[in-house]
Amino acid sequence: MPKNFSATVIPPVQRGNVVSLYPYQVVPDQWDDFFCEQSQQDMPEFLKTFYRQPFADDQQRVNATEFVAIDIETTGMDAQQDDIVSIGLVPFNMSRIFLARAQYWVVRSRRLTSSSVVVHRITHSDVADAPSLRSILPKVAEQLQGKQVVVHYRYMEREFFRSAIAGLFGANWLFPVVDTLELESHYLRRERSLLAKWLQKPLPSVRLPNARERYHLPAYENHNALVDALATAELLQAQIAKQHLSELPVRTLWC
Amino acid sequence: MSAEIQDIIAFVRAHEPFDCLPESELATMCGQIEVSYFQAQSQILHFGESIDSLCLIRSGSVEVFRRTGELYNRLESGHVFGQMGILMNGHVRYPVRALEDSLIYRIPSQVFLDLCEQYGEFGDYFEVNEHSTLQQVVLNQVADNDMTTVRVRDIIQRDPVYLYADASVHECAKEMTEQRVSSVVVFDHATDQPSEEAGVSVALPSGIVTDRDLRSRVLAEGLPLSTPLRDIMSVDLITVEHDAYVYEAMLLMLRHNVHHLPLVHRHKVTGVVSLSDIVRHESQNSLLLVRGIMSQETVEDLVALSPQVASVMVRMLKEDANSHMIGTAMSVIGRAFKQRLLQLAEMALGPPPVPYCFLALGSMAREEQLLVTDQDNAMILSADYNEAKHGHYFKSLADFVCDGLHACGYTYCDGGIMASNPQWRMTLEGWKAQFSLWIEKPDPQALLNASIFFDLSGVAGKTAWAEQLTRFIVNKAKSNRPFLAALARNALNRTPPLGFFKNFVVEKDGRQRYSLNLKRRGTAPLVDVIRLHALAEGSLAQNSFDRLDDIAQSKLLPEGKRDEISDALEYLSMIRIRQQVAAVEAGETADNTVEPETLSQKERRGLKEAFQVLSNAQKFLRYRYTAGPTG
Repeated sequence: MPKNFSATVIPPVQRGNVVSLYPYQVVPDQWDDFFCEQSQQDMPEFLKTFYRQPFADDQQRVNATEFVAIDIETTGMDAQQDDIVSIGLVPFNMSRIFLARAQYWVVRSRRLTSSSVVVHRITHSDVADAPSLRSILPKVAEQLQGKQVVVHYRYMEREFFRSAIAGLFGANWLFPVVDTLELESHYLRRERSLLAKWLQKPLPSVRLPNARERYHLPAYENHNALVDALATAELLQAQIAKQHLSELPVRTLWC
Repeated sequence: MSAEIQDIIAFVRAHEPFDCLPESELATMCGQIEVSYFQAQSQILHFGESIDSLCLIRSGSVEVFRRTGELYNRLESGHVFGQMGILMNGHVRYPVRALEDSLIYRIPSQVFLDLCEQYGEFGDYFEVNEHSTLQQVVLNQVADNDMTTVRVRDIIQRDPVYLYADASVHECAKEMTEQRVSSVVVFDHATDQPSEEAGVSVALPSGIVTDRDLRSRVLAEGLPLSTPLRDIMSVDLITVEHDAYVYEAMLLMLRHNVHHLPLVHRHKVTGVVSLSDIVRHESQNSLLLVRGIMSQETVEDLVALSPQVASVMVRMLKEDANSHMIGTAMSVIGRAFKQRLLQLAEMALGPPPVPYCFLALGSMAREEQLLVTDQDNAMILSADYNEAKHGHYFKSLADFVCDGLHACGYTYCDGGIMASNPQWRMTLEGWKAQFSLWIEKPDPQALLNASIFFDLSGVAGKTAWAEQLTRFIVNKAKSNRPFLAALARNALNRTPPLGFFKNFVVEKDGRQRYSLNLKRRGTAPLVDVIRLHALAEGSLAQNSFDRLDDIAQSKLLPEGKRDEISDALEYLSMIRIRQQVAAVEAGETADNTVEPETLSQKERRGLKEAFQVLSNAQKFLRYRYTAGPTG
């Protein structure tokens, strides 16, 4: 399991004089304390509601957990520089992914570069008519509320949301996630032969399509945030089955 | 923005039966899908649990089991399962297990049922798919076809006209003229009095007199008008059940070369069907060609007539005849060629010095002949046959017929199984000795080439000898386990062209196309299976469908298997026939192959199912006849 950065080692930075924000890529050591602390802060109602959700307790097992997989497409890799272009999410549990409850938003943005247009097939005109991130984020938070969030590579989704909320609402938005990339590399490291370890052979790719391939999941052609959210949900189902995670408390997968 | 996933829509759209749904409906349906991942070897559906969705395999493969645990089917990407449970009672009927890691798209039952309701084609797919595609297709064919639905009793014009055997030919001619009929049924004794009700007789008549009989047997012979009917009537009555289909009556007439058939119902004559009744009913049919064949005076004329054989088949297919009808008609035509060639040969060579019986073997004997067929025939010679004295005559006779057949499109048999081969001209005792050898000392290699001899029928001459030989064979073969085991081993040699996932295994054919040989890998092995069961049961029938009827009587096959095999044979034969007809119509040479690519998805599915039936039938053969696991 990845080791958490300790919030006590790197103290929260002051932004303005309203609220203490966690620094980039730093997450709380004790999530329970963090939620408790946050729910007492002055922040928009949708965030308060989010923090008041019952998070998974120590006993809650993976097979009894309601998940939501989320994926974003962005103009670049830097959460502090780049913009979210689209958001896709899909609720699921260990046995079913519910497409009927999937959600997808294209976000209005001014920083859409031509290279990201090629990747996401979202054009300037799509984006011009789209709602603003400010109006979308409360809806996203509502969908995540009470669910276990699942992402593939937490330094994208969680960091972009953290930056966006901090910038737009001056508040902290952080939550524990199950990271399928982390699960995959952990599994690969564990399964790696001694010889491979000695030779320091690099781990196989843990990119979403490559990870999926190892579980014989189909290749999805049309790349977008919703498809990747679905792809992530399918991957977690596969990982739970293959790595025998279903009886584990879901908290042990948190990062 | 709506949460459409183009990838899923594109995948679903590419598979039957979803391809028939309108785009908007498809997108809505895809939006309702629930996705589940199953690791290899994990159970997807448990027997009896409630089922809430139709399952579509996105990736991977699954195995469907019967309740008994027997493997029922293997399905791969693009296939659906679970429909049976939803349609029947909402509980899983066929448990399903993941064979490989599989991703399953689940379409909620209500969505599925609504679509079935709203889109007939979509709903039909599942009805048809589950309840056996073959049966449905075969049933449809029968329902569409006039010749198979119209019964002979429905086309006769009137009640039978009858007289007693002591009536004079004069009385008979008067009665026929008054009643405007071309035949009368004759009763022998006054005790066989026809009952009062509607002229229905209480006993079978002893004979029949037709217009032609009065002409050829009375007038031409100069017999007096007082001659009793007893002296001139035809006595070996060929009758037909009044419930028989028109085509059955037609085939009887063809086979026995008669123009009138009394209809019998519960041992009573209910009418007479004449050739003209049938011709009126079916103006265009194979009868006309047979009559044409029988009236040709030279081999050249017969050759000139032979292209019409293909057009008869084309026409019959257009008229929705089934494979049994087409196979029988083509065989009857083939027999007519043989019969006429024999007559022409006897005209040229003089009458035979000793009697003989000309045998048809293989598909013609089974009455399952189609277009691309070589000649398989043989001869039974009289016990008085003397090689030195008669050898030359029968060699010439056989050569004449076999060469003639070759010229008419029935090519020489590669294996030399022809009457022109002296090896296959034997006395009845010689034949019995040959069959005894095959049956009592079974050598699979020898039997491989000999299986064709186990379908035999007399075409001309002393056809009774053919029947005697058949009875001899059946009695010998019936309880001979080693022989049946050897036949079973041979029958297992030709497997259906299905791969592990029930995909077609194609081969490069003569024209360098990747194709399936429907005869070699389909109908022929199925016919082998049926022949083996028939021999084991002592059935005297030659036709595969008739043999299946005999087998069904004996309860040798599990319940339902007979229909399954019969449907599969019908289906495979019909695809063969359709391929041949398409080739004829395109001006190409017909053969027995089919390129799966050219078939519709529905046809491919039916074909796979038929091959599966064959595969199962072969497995049953292994279990039933071969001793031990090494068999």
